[in-house]
Amino acid sequence: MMEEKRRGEFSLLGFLEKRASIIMTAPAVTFMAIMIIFPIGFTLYIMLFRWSGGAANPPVFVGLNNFANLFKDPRFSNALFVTMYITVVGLVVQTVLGTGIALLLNESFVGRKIIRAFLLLPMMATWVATALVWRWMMYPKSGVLNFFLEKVGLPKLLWLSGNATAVPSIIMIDTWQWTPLIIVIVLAGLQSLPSEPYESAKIDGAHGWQILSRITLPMLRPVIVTAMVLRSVDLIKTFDVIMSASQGGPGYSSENLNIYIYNTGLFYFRLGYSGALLVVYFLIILIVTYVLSRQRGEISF
Amino acid sequence: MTLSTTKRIKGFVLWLMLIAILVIFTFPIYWMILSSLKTQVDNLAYPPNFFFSPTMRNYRVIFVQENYLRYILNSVIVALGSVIFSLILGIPAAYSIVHFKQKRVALFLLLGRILPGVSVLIPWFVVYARLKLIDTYLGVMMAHMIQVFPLVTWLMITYFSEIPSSLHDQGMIDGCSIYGILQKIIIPLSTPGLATASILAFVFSWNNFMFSLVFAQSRTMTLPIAAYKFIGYGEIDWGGITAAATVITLPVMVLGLVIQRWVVQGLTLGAVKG
Repeated sequence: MMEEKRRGEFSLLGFLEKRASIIMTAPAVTFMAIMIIFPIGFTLYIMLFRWSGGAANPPVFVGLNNFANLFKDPRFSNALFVTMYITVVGLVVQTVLGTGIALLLNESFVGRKIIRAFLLLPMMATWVATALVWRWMMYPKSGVLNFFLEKVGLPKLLWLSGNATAVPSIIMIDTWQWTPLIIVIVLAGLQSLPSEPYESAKIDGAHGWQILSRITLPMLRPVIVTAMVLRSVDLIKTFDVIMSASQGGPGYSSENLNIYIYNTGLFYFRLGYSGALLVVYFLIILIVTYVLSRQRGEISF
Repeated sequence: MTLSTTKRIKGFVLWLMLIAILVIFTFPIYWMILSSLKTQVDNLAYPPNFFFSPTMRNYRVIFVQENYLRYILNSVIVALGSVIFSLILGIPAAYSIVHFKQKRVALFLLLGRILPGVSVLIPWFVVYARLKLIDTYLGVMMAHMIQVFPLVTWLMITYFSEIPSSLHDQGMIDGCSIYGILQKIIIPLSTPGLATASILAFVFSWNNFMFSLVFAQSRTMTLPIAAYKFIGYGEIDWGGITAAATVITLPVMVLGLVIQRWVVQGLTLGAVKG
């Protein structure tokens, strides 16, 4: 009896040990699968239906109608444009600024550490809260930014309340918040650069600008591209800032795809249509990530 | 001009630029705190007052009239809960991924970082409504975990992979099972890493807006949503809103400074590694 029981125990332990890789990851994988695979399946299903979410009104099959409607929907094309606008302009501005400031910081040994600590603040601070503070600073009537503009002799702006200035204002807030990320990444990259190319450049008599454009920037390229991949994925998904600073307004002038999909699904309860929008949105994210990551791969190999 | 003067001028210009950058990046935070100490009349004055008699009125409104202690408590409960559950699921998974080199599992867990939140939000809203999970702590925690859990796991993967595998082998020789090794050797060795990962995950949950906006509307309302609700149709109470923003952001900014080095690692999570 004793013998048998012990052997039973032993094989249980043996099983636990042999299957450890599965046992230890199973809870994690199961959780993620439930939380993520289910929504993907649901989206692929509901995109073929018209449904307002109520239990009393079951979904009505409409085939690919939801996708056909995308092309006739001016709010969709507007959201697509706003998404591209924010992503492209935001990415360019933040990359140029971030790389520039990183190069500058790299020159100063003392300043680097202190400033790096402060640069983390915009990223850490709750995004809704800081976006609300920006909304206040951009307040046309008594905001501090218009005061500064007036001080330097420039005309006051409508900022978030103007059709043409709303998106640039959103980009400005996002730039304040996330340029530091690029600075920190590029700074780390700068510090890991080998010193040999610089030494031979000095022997050849190369000057500041030449060293920067021929040696530093090409060597930094993979690091900068990594930062750009990260930023572009998040820029496409901009939500918190828009929701709290302009709510997509005035009108729909700062409504990007993320906000539009949110409104379609959870404000108007057009769940089927939001499914179609989600599929298109996700494809865009995949394509952008893929294209940018390849860019990096080509360089590093 | 001698070389040393050029150098000195260059150094001076550099310092000026660094100070300018510092001022630009910290000004909104300064303005937030300043405005939170002003009355609405002072805030709406134009040109803006830089000198005024500070008042704690806005903070009194927030803590006495509005229920901010409750929202702080809600934020803490949700953040702590999602971090603890993430650790329970994530630690064994992270160790297994490192030890058995399960790269594909690691990539799968990262999906939560890449998928846009809204694509998870809408389907789960439908299910949550049926299961009555909306406005429950469990429901909000689970939603936050979609982002917090991959973060914790990936940080632990980085941390565990820095531990030499000879320690694992030594444990094997001593007759420990992999679970024993994890419990008796790896976890005690990783306490600093676990602490930083937990703090960072806490901050992410604390800052979460999209999931809370839908799932934590009243009873479980978290701080970001409470601040967001300040926006109404009439004239916004700017003193109140900046006081709320200060209450929300100060703790995470302090935590952020404490775990500086890990912040970047957490934020760059999902960077495609060659």
